[in-house]
Amino acid sequence: MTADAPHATGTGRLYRAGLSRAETVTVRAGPQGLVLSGTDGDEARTVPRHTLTIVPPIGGDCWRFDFANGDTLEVIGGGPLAAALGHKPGLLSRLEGSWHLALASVPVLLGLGAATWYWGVPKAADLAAAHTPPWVERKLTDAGLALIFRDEKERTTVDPVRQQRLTSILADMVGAQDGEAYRLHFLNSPLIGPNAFALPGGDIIVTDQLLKILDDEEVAAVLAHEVGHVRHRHGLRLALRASGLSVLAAVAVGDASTAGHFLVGAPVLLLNLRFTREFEAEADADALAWLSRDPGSHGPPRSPCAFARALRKIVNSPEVKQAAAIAGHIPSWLATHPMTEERLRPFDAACPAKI
Amino acid sequence: MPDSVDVSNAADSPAHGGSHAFRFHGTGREYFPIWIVNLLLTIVTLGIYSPWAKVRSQRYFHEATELAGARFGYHARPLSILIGRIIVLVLFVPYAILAKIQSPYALVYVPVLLVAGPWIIVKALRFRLRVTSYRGVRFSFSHEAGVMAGAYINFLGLPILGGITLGLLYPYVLHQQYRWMVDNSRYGATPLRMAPAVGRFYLLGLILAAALLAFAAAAFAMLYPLMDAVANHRPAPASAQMAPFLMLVLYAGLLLVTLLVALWLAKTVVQRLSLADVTLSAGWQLGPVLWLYVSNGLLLLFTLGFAYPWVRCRTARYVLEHLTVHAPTGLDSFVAGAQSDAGAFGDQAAAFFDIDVGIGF
Repeated sequence: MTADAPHATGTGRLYRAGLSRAETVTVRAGPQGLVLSGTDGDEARTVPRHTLTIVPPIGGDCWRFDFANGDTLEVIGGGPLAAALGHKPGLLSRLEGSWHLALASVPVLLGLGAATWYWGVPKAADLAAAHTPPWVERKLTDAGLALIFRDEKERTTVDPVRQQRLTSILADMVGAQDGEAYRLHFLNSPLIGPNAFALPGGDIIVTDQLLKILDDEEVAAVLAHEVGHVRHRHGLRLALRASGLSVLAAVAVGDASTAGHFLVGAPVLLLNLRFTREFEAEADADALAWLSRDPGSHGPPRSPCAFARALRKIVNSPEVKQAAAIAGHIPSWLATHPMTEERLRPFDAACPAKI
Repeated sequence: MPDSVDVSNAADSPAHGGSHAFRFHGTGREYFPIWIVNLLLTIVTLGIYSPWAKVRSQRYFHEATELAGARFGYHARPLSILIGRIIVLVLFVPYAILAKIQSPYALVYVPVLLVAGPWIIVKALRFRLRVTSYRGVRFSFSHEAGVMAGAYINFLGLPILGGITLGLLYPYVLHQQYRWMVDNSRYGATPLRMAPAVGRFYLLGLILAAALLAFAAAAFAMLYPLMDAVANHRPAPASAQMAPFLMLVLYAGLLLVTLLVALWLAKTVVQRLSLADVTLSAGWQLGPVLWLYVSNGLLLLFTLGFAYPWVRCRTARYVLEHLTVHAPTGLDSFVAGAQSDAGAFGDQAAAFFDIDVGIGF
């Protein structure tokens, strides 16, 4: 009777329906189905093939046979038994057992991941930014402004006449149709030092410390750079790109009880710096384009030289020098702004001559 | 009738008592191709395969877990999980969008979430336990009438009370939540029990609170001179150079205390569980757990996540193989609960909420 499958035998543990008691049984594949016999071997019963379900293992070698009456049989190494009963391994379990497939998939998945990281997420974030209505940016900015101008001490000390002059320079720069969106703010902040920054939505903040060391022509050059940030919606795009990358990093590394989620922050931060440098370069290009254009008869004077002068003055200011001393030497790949001289090369090239 | 043949007197070897450590037979080498296939199919099907992937990986881990010669089983149906995920997606994507754009309409969801939360917890626990088996007997979570009321008391009422008392009640709340979850769980017809441990929960809460306070005070003491100097235009003190390094040390210290508290909490709960006369003991130690935690993080980081199967398996092995079951009269005398055949509809519905419920500090 067992001639057709002589080695399809095994030892299994049988659990009667609803009972946790284990019975050790000897199992063999007969022509009608599984033949079970107790350890003493004198009594045997046959479980017909059509009344049992074969549950192949996922990995490992623990085969389960579920009987129609609710009994369950576990057989370690039950593969030959199942094969003798006519079970064929499915495509999925063959794939899951294949190391060739797994190893071949590694470069594919790596490539896919890298493409998502370097190209997919930034593109998707930019697309999302392009479809974000302007009032969202405005809301984000209003919250930020309220936080920045909370402190009475930070009221500006800049002469109102100069404030007016700079505001009109900005209005002239952005043109009539965009003029509504742009607002210039003045902030007295020894902590920040000489600096200017753009918030999403068109609010540009310049510090008193900056106005102290720059003349109006140089401030205009800095404003042209900040307007570039606003035009290309860098604030929103950076926020969206950063959150996209954090999610991706968390998916790849974070889903386990490990210190992983504490460590994923670092590479995301480095990549953010790459984005900011990309955005700075874009804003610089905008500034250079505006500074090189002819101001016309009524406009304020402008020249690429002014931007180079402004940047060198900022970098050489005592506050910035002190900050640099604390931080030590920062290599260019870690710097928010590309190293100054590298940045200024196109401006110097466009600067007609020393004035 | 072949079924009438009695094999019961072919008595199994240890019907008698003894202690058994869990054994975990899974290996990263074996799980790696399974994980890769799951990943590939999930990507190719744009996520639709993910419930199947989840069931296959859960089955791998359950079936690789051995206790006293028998393996665990996982029986969830992927299609129910898929439907559940779609429902959750449809319900909560509008909320996620509204919250992201800071729309006031997102607030509409707050009462809904508060009220639905405990109900979802019960459904999720029922699903999670119902699909788990050992020796052919299923686990389950209570279907008794008072369960829902208990869920609202422990997961809505008590937390609100904890908030009112400025967190003083929080360790008690957590204790009650654990106890309620354990006491309503069953293996077959036998209920699990958790012996009270309010004092231990308060001790752990106190340690954690003290560590947080010490961390905040030290961080302030370190950063104050620097901020003061910058605000008053004085050069930064020499100690400022050390600040980032010291912050890192402080942060590592806080992490260590948090890990220690989490470990003690897990031990506290596990060692107070009982199932009839069966009890558990856990031999987890801070040193090995810390090493596991750090090495897993480094492994994932330096392999860009490809070490995930090994990380999962070595974690499961450590956790399980240091867990011992003491069964003085053996594990043979449990019977399936009366509900094992009834309530099939409820189980299907519960699959809609295949959410991993976990609470902790």
